Amino acid sequence: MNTEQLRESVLSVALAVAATITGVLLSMLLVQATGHDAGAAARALWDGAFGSRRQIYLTAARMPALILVALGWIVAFRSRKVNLGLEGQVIIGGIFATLVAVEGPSLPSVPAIALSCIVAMIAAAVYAAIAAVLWAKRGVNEIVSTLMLTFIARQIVEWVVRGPMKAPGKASFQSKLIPGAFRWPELANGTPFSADAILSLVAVAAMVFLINRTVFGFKLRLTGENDECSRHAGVSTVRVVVLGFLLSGALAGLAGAGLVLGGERHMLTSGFTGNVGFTGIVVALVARNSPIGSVPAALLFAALATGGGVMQARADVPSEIVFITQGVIVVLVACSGLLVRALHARRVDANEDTPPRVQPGLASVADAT
Amino acid sequence: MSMAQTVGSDRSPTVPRLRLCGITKRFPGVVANRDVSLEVHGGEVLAILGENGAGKSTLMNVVSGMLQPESGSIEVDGKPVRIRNPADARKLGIGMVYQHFALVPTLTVAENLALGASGTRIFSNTRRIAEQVTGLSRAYHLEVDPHAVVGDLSVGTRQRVEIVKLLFRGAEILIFDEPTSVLTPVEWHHLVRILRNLAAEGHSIIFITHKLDELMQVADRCTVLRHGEVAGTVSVAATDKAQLARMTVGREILFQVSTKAARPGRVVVAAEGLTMRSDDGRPRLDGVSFELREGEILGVAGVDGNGQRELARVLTGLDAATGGRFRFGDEWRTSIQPIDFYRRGGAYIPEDRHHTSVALELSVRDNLLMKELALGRMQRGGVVSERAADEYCTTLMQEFDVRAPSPRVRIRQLSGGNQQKVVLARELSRTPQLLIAAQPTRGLDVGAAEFVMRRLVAEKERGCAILMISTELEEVLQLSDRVAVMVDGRFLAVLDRQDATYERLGLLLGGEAVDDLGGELTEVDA
Ligand SMILES: Nc1ncnc2c1ncn2[C@@H]1O[C@H](COP(=O)(O)OP(=O)(O)OP(=O)(O)O)[C@@H](O)[C@H]1O
Ligand SMILES: [Mg+2]
Repeated sequence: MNTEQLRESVLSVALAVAATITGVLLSMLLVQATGHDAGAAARALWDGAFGSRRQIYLTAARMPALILVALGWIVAFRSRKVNLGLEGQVIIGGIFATLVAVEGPSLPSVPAIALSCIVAMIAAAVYAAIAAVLWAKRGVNEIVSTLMLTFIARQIVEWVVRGPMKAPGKASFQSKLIPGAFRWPELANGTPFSADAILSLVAVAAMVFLINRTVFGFKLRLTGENDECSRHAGVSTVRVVVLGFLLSGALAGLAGAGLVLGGERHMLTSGFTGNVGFTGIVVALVARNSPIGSVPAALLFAALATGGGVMQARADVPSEIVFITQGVIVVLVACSGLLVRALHARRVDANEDTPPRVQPGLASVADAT
Repeated sequence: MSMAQTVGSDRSPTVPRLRLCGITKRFPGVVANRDVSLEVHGGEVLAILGENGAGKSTLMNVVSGMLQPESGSIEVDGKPVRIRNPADARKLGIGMVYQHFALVPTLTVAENLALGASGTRIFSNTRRIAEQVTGLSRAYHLEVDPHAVVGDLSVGTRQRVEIVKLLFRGAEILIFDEPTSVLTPVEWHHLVRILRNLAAEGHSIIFITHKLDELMQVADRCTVLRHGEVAGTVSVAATDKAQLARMTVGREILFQVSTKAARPGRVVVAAEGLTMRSDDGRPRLDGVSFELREGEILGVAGVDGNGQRELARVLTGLDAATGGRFRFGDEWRTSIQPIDFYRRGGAYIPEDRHHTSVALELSVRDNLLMKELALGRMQRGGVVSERAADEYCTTLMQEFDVRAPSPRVRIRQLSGGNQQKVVLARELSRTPQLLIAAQPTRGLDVGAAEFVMRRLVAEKERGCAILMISTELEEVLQLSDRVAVMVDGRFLAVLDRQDATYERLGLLLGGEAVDDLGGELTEVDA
């Protein structure tokens, strides 16, 4: 990392922090304006997120899924592919993890969890592959197809918890409970904070290594930056992009598995994802697509989620307020991203030979003649 | 709006139009300009010469407001000014023509100008603008039709549109940063006339180039930069190419690279009736046949855009031929995978650096490594072998004199010529069997260009087969054992070295006006 890159990352961290503070302040203003006590709400928000050991564990327990989804977004985005269907892939992962756990063989804990996670990852990767293959073979825009697949996944989970996977004898729509061997071991007794947290940190490290040190990561970056150059260098760009997309789906699947094998309820319900498939994307955006940055960003969004619940209960402020907080943060970070890029572009594009991105270059010149 | 009346006639002729005093500009790890002072007068063409990375583009970016210097001052017409951004520069009458034109291809010339004009609404004023364009175009012999769609224009015409754009905005100081690499000889001579015309009307022109012949034709004075500092300023009338070259690179330059006659071996690559049609059905490549043997350089001479690019892209696997066949190795085929091209010992230097040969946002190191990694080298179990890779990069950067603060900086931050050196280093490092080199010396300073030409000759003498595509006749004539003349997607003729003369090639290329400066110039657009 050279000085310039260092300066850039320091700047982005500072901007993200500023955006968070502004986001919280603005939403508290809104709380006050709607006739609530902003001070009490803020305190409740903080207490809810970090006020006691239990609350801290609750917040931490939300992080692994967010991190894994963010990583999924990041790996696809390295080749400039937009996987908006992570939510759908999370759902598929959750369904298959549950299926293995409740219908599969009885196994000791470690192989049980491993099997369940691997099946979830494969299933989610296959689900993502539908979009990837449609893109590779037919040029179907992956943004649209993954989003559509998410709607389908939602219908599928509605159906399985009402029908084939419904726990017999229960009034509510839910699957059977996950057997003990398949549950992620708890890291703090009696809280949902479990060992998948470790797994998600390992995944972050693995992702950093994959992107920066491996040949596949290199090809992914090269293709994302300039796919014509990548092709000219002898890289099979379509293969690289499809593989990146599958990996993205697999990570979402792993997140989905964590939600049912870890967590508090140990079962599949139709809303089991709590939208992590979308919030995780926002986490990646706030982290500016940095795998390491997605850890603090996930912490932020996890805290807002747990804190928001407590705020509603204690200060009688609708927890939807935290959506506004999140929204403000995202918009501010997106804008500050533009700001960074603008500052950066002014310095760098100054090199005469560097075509600003919108300009027609020699290629189009040659095409026209 | 100053049309053709003499610019700045009310000003004192002894005060320079533009004056830079002690400009210093640093980037992390390099001082791009150190205490640079120079001046340009009205009515003068000043050339700026210097090695790759000497700081020429940086200095011009300071003048045009794209970069802020750490210290130094700028005066326009004797008055100190601050240029904080390009808008400031524009207000002061400073304009820059880039190598990559900033025009919207789907709009007409007039509409493009309307886009940039301040305080006007698009479309409402295009009629008036069109009239002004016609006026400017006539006054300076620019031959620009305001109603032409930019995308349909040749490169040379687009460049003249850029000039019109600057004049239209009232520019009196015009800066050209390596403007000529994509011009045909005819277009170049047209440009010389325009520049001399503009100077005669009182404009000041700053012209950056590495081509000494061009410099001698167009400039009045020349300032040489070395390592970011001014090495000297000379009057062009009182100097010659050899002296300029010596001032630039600090050593003698032989303008003639010695090359032995080819001793061709077996056929390395052959083509039979290669054809490629674009989507609209027009042939871009129209029945090209040739054989290229070990230890021989086949030069492809031609005006840009006559199928050279397509030929290279088909042979290297970036595009598939729609007709005919070729072979590299044993089997005949109509297409090849790029990776197979490299596996068989191919190397390729594409002509469009920013679209094909480098990834601007990646590091110099990544750009050097890409083909090695694609070929499965410098890695173990899918993980890049950092040590081997670092060593490889350091060696190549030394050998090819790539000037960068570190291999880890983005290649975007290198000067144009140094980016090109990275590409050359990458391709020549593999001791190829076949080298397809398009415009290999584009953007290189005289020293680096000489080095590369020597390397090409050395590769040939080692036994490499080289297909050298170039729009510069001198380059083709110097290095080639045979010369193919490419026009409209066809090889019009393939001449042996002794039959290929400058005049003959000029005639074949349909450029009667090649060395006829005073001749009537006709519109070169199709
Ligand atoms: N945006 C940038 N960031 C960092 N370094 C830069 C940047 N732009 C230029 N440099 C460095 O400044 C020096 C001068 O570069 P410049 O582009 O001015 O050279 P030049 O004289 O135009 O060379 P060339 O003939 O190759 O175009 C080089 O060492 C280059 O690497
Ligand atoms: Mg330059």
